[in-house]
Amino acid sequence: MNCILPNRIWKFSWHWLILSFILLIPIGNGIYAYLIQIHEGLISTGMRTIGLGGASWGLNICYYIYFAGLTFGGITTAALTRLLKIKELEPITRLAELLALFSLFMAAPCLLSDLGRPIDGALFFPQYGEARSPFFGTFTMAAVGYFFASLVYLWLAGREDAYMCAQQDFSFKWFYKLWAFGYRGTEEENECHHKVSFWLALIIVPLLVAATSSLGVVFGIQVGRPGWFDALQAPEFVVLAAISGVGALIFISAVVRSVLHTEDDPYKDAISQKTLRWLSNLLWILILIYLYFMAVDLLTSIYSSETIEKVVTRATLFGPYAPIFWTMIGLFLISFLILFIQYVFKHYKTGLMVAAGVMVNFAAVLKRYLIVIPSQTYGTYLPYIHGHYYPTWGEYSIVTAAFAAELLLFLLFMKVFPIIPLKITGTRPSVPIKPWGKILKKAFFVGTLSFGLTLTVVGFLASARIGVKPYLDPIIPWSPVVFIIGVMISLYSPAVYEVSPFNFSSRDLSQPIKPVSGRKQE
Amino acid sequence: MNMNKLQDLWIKIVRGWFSKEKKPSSKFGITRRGAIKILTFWSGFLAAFIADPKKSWGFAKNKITAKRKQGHIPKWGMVIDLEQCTGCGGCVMACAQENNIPFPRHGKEYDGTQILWMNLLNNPSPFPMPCMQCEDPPCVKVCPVGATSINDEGLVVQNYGRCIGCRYCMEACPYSVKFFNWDEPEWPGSLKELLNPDVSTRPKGVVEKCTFCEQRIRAYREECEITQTPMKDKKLQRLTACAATCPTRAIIFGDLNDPESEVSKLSQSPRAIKLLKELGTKPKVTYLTKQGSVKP
Repeated sequence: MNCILPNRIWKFSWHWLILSFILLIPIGNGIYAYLIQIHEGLISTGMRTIGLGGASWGLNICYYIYFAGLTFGGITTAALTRLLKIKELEPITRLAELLALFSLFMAAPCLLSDLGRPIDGALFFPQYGEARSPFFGTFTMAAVGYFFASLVYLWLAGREDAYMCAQQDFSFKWFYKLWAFGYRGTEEENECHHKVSFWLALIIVPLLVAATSSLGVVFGIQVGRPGWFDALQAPEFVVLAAISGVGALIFISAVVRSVLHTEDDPYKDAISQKTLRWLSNLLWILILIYLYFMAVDLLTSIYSSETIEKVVTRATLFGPYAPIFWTMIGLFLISFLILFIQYVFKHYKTGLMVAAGVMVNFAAVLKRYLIVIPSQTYGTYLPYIHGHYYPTWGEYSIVTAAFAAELLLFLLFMKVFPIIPLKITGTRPSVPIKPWGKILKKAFFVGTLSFGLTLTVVGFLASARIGVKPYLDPIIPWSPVVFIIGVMISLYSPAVYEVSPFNFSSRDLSQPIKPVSGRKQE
Repeated sequence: MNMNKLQDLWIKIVRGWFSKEKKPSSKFGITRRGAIKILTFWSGFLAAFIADPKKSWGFAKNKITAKRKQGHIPKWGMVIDLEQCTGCGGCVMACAQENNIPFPRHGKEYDGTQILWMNLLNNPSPFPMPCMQCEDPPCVKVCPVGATSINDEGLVVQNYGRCIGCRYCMEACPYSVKFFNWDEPEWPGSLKELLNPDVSTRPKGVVEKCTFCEQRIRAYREECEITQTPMKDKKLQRLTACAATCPTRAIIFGDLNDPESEVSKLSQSPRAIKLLKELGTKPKVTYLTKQGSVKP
C-alpha cells in the first residue's frame, strides 16, 4: 500500500504568504468594527426599531442564514456522495466537508454580532434555552448538528490520509497521529469506514434537512409579520441552502483545480471537468425548483387582495426593493440558462460553470436580504411609517471579515493536510477482525447511540416543558446542554463503531506502512 | 466535633466505601438494614407523590394555578376610549417619567431608537398604543431564553438581566410595542436624580416594554394587604401612570375578571374592539370607537 503526497504540504510560497497577509487586513478591520460595536452598542449598525422607521434584523442575520446554507450545501453534498456512491464527486468530498465546517465557523460570529449581549447569549442559552422558540433549533440543531456532522465526516474520512502524513517527516506529527486515531491501513478498516460513511449519511441527511428547516421556521411561523408567515419558508430555505452550497462548491473546486494545474502537482487531474459537470447539472435542477417555489409564493401573495401581504410584495416587486429583486431574478435566470444550455448541447465550459456558481451565490445573498428586510420595513399591520435599512461600514466589515477568514482557513488547511483525498496504490494488508471484536464493536455502537438518543430526548423534553406552562425555565437546569451533548454523542456513535480498538491486536501489524512522497520521486 | 474527628470520620467513610471486605449479607445480596433504608425512602417518596405528584418531583409549580385554586385572581386590562382621546401626549410623558424611559436624543443617527412604552400614533386621529398584554403573546413564544414571560399577575414582562438582545420578540410582536436599547440610556443633567427607584433602568443591548406599571399594582396590593381591604376599582381605574395622567379619562385600567369593574363593563360595550383580534393573540387592551370598528 502506497500513496503519493501532494506538493504543497508544509511548503509556503511567496504567493501564499502575500495572499494570507492580504486576507488578514479585512479580518483585522472586521475585528475592529466588532469592538466598536461592543463599545457603542448596536447603534453603530444601520438597524433600528420596527415601527419607528427601521428594521431590527439586518445584514448579520442575512449572512448568518447564508453561511448556514453553505454549511448545509457542503455537508449534504459530502453525505449524498457516500450515500449514492457518486464517483464523480468523490474527489471533492473533503472540499465539501471543509466548506461546511469553515462556513459554520463564520456563521457563528455573524449571529453573535447580531446579539445585543453576546456573552450573556452564550451563557444563558445553554442554561435557559427553551425548545418552543425556533431559535432553539437554530442554536442547537443547526449550529451543533451541522458542526458535529461536518467534523465527524472530516475526521473519519481523513483518518487514512492522516495516517499517511504521520509517516512523513512533517512538523506537528502529533496532529496527524491524533487525527489517524489508531488507524493502521488495513483492508478491514477501509471496508468498515465505507460502511460507517453510508449509515452516517443516511442519518445525517434528514437531520440536516430538519436543521435547515428550523432556520426557515424562525421566519415562517411569525403570524404578525406579513411576508414571513408562510408554510413554504422551510422547504425554500432548504433548496436555497443547497443552491448556494453547490454554487460555492463549483467555485472552490474550480479554484483548487486551477491551482493544482499551475503547481504541476501530482494531483493536478484529481478534480476533472466531470465533477464540475455533475455539480452544474445538479445546480440547474435546484434553481428550477427554487424558481417554482418563488413563483407559487408570489402568486399567492399577489392574489391576496388588499392585505399587508400585498404591500410587502408590491414594495419588493415595484417599490424600493425592486432593483434587488429583479437583479436576483436575473442572476438566477442567467445562471439557469447557462447551465441548462450547456446540459442540452453537452458542451461544457469551466469558466461559465464557475460564473454560474458565483452568480447563484450573489442571488442567494440578495434573496436572503429580501426575506429578512422588507417584511420588517413594510410588513406592519398597524399604521406605522414605512421603514428603511442601510447597512453601515461596521456591518459590511464584519461580513467581509467572515469571508476573508473562511478563505484564510482554506489556505491554511491546504498547507497542513491533503485537500483532496490521497490516491492509495497497491493493496491494503488484510487482518481479519476477530468475531468477538465484531460483537464488541456493535455493542459499543448500540450503547453509545442509545445513550446519545436518550440524552437528546431527555434534554429536549426538559427544555420544552411539555405538560406545564411553557414560559417557565427548563425543568432540569442546563437541559439544552444535555440535548446538545445527546445530539453530539448520537452523531459520534458511528465513529465509535469505526475507531473502537477491537479490530486486531497491535502485534498483527508490526511494520508501519511507508508512503512514497510525490516530491521525492521527482 | 473538632476537625480531627471529622477527618477520621471521612477516612472511615472512604475506606468503608472502597473496602474489599465483604459485609455480611443475605442471600439476596442486601443487608436487612439496607433493605429497611431503601423501603423507608421509597415509601416516603410514594406518600409524597400521592399527596402532590408535581411537588414530589421538585417541579416548580405554577403560582398562577395555585392562586386560582385559592380564589379570585385579577386579569389586568385596559380600555382606551378613542373618542375621548385628545392626543395631548400626557400619557406618553407620564409613562416615560414613571418607568425611567431614557430621553430621546436628537440627530439622524438616533432616528428610530426612541423607546416609547406608550406610543401615540396619529392616523388619522390620536391612537395611544401601550403593550397589548396579550393572553397568548407571540413574543413569549419566541424568546429563546425565557426573558419575556408571563408573571404571576398574568402580565407579560421582561427580565432585563436574562435578555440576550436577539430582538426576536420585536420581530414577533404584531403591534411593534417592544423596544431595544440600541445604546446606553442617558438622562441629561440632574434628571438622573429624578429616576423612579421602584423601576430598574435598562442597560444597552436589552429589549424592554410596557408592564402596565407593574410596580404600582404591587405597591397598591401590598397597601391593601396591610390594611386588609379589597382592591378598589375606583383606585384601580387610574392606577397606571398613563391612566392617572389622562385629562379626559380616556384610559381606564382595571380587573377584567371582576364583572363589576369599569374596565370589564366597558370592554363589553358595542363600541369595543380589539386590535388585530384575528391573529389570535387575545389582547387585554380594548379600544372604544364611535363606529364600533376602526381601521387604524
